[in-house]
Amino acid sequence: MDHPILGEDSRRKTVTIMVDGKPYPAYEGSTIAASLLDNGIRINRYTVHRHEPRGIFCGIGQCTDCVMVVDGMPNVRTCITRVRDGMDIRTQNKEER
Amino acid sequence: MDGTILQNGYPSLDELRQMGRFPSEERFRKGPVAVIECIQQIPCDPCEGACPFGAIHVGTPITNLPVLDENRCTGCGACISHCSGLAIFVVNKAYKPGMATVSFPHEYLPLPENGQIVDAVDRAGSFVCKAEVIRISNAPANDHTPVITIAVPLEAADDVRGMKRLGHEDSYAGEAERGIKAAEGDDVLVCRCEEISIGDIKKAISEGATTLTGVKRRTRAGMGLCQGRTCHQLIERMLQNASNVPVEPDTVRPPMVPVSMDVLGRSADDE
Repeated sequence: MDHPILGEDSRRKTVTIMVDGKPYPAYEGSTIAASLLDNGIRINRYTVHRHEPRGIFCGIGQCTDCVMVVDGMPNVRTCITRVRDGMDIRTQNKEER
Repeated sequence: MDGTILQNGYPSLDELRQMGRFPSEERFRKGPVAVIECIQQIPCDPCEGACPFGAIHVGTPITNLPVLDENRCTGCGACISHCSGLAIFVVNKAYKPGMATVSFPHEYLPLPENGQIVDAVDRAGSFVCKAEVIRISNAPANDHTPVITIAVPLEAADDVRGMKRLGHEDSYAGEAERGIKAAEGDDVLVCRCEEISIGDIKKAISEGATTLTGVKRRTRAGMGLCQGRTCHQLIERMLQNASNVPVEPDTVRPPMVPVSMDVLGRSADDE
């Protein structure tokens, strides 16, 4: 794929991440949030009170809108956390409480 | 178009005229000329160096608004792609009888083709009229900011400042059916973590909150996961808008970056 600014995509090595139990490919070195977006996943968590979907908002680790449960740890900011092979990623607060 | 850039996020035609951002009608009638729609004093001056005719002056301090020497400007458009704020346009009101051209930066793919009929939009991004693309410039000197020139009716020349991007016509199709709509007015969230809206903050202020802490204690705004990183400036602004005296800055306490309880609470026995 050619990008108008970045040029040719030279990322080749992929890893496999598990999202809500399903495997997805991700580029090594990418953040979790970017990898989910690559795979068409735009909902990272649901809000506590209104149970509304949330995804990437600030993208720089400030707003915590994109937090997910990563390897059992809740509230992980996926926009600043890189993928690792076999990582277990889950939509946070998916079930209504 | 009513309102100002501070209210809407884009300048109105009245605002631009009042701030002397428009060349004279006399100059417009002579042919293409740059329109520098830059009305906020920010430290920025690439336009000054971009003009090969020395027609744009920023000077010192660098926060000055650029001033156009309309008689030196040839309407070449070199400044358009150099403006980081995408705020410079070239308008030619002498294109053809009753017709004008507008040149603008367009950083979206796919690019239109010469002769293509596109939707011309105003500063708000709202549809104005259909327009024919007459020139596409994507030279190396543009540094990846293509400049599109479209022909519009003369009366639309002061309003048209862009075109609808192509290839995304269906982006928002079906969102209404799926129950997706943008929050409006008092329903817009300020504190995203605790889900506190503009209305909630206004209520807290009307109940007597005059400081960030006052709002926080009444609503929980700023007490969520991000610890007010996203909302505190917004709430401070709302407080200041509701007050005649300067609002006291809030106390900031460490840790300055999120730290897990594991780091803070681990005892020697856990090692």
